[in-house]
Amino acid sequence: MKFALIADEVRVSIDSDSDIVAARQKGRELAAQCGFPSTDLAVVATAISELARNIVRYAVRGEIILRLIDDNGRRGVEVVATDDGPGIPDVTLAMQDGYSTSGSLGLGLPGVRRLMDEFEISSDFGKGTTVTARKWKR
Amino acid sequence: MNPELRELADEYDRALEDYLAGRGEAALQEAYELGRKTLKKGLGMLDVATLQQRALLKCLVRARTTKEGTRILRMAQKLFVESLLPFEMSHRRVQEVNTALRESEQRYRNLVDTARDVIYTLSIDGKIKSLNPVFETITGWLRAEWIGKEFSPLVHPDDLPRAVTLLQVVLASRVPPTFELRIRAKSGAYIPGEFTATPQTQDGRVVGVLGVARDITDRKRAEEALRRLNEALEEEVKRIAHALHDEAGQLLASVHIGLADVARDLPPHTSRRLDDVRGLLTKIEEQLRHLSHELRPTILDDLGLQPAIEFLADGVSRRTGLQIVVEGAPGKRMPAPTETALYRIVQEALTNVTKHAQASHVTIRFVRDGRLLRCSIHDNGTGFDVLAVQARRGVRGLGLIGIQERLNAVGGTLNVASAPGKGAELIISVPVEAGGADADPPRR
Repeated sequence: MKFALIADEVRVSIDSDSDIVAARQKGRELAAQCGFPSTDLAVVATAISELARNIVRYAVRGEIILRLIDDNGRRGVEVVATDDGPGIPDVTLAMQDGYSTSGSLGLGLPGVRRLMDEFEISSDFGKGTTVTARKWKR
Repeated sequence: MNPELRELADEYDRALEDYLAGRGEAALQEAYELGRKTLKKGLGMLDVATLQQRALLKCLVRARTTKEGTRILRMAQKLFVESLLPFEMSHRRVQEVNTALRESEQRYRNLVDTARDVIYTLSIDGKIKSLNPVFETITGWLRAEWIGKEFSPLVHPDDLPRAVTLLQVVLASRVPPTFELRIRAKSGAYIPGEFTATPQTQDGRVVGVLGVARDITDRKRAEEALRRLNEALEEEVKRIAHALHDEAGQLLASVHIGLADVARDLPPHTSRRLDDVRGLLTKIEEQLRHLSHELRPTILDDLGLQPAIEFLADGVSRRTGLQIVVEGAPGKRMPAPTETALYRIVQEALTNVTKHAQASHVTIRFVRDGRLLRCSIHDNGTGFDVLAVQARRGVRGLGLIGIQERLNAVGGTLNVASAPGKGAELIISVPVEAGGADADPPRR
């Protein structure tokens, strides 16, 4: 799905834990521009944390792309996490809680899916993973 | 405060200090990670609230102006939200799981409530834990009259020992094959039921029994009707066989004597022509005897199953060239319906072999095994795909259905083992009285 971009997208390359802070900060700024309430700013930051953490852990290197989007007047933030890591062999399985240890607590990718309004994942085994998550302003 | 929480408290204090010192997102990330860690350690949201409260108090006492105090409060609030977000994620998971569980529970409930078979659960001490609504329709009892009570008064006294044994089997974590029990309805009548029972386990321990019971009254009636029909048919066949053999046979014998009488008074060349007629008459006699025998061998009534089967095998062998060996012995005489059923089944099986199997050899073997008599009919013919043939219901599936029906009427079972190119074996088991392999005197 393509939405109208309100401002230029922001790309943060994710290489280590310290990059996660930068990505969170950018995400929070964009969401604040959009007029999100402060708890939703924390939600967006959390999604970025979990997605970036996955990149660092499983793919070593990747990118978080942040976009302010517009869908017929409805505004939101789109977070895209992309990497060219090993990919996920079974996406359906990976989206189940309990696939990883943090999953059984509802953290990780399934946690992001539940926090955000929209969630898409595509992964080619051996070619990396792209996760797209959106949060709309309420 | 325990050491674990104290360590987290120190971290929380640091995060708040960092945030107040202007470290911004990095401090928020610290708080988030702290919340994540707290969750993973199995601690709760209230613990985070405690951490927050302590850290906030420590910072607030340092505030000299209201403005500073307000700033501290506002920032601590933001930090608190960050540290709670992992719990929010976890909470949403629980909500999702609960919803799914509720839906699954509802589906299960609908299934159980609308099932046409009784679904029951028992506790390990044999008390009824649950019954679905159809129990009331079938038995006339209210479920409330039985839930929490022992199941035993519901079972026919003669079936109870078996029911108790089966309960023990299931409680030992095994799954018995389906079994039949008669259940006492509110009216006092007994309803035949076909039961399954499986162990209900919790953490690897058997905590009860879950089973399904089907009212098989209609099936029993149909079986009974079929059995009566078969018996009536056998009686009729016996009558016809008797008429052919005894009455028509005696008449023909009289004709023979009469013709012999006439022949004596005739000139030799005319008498020879009469000889031809007498030859034909002898053939008719033979055919009538043969027909009578096919219909109902008196040998079955007079001498029992084994001589009858041997006689049958001999006849088929001579007619078709099939080599047939009869091994073992059926033992004691059995009730007439059982003997007739077995005789007819072997007859049907041999017909099948000669029609379809292209076999050269058949072995019929009897083995007495306690309260069971097993009879196997094994040929070395072309064989067939058992499942495919049994699936051809209605169409004459090699007469297997007929065999099955006959067995049902006498409480027997049929096993078929075959594969294309591998020959075929029918194994028939019928319940018989225990003991005695000796042949009894003929029954009249």
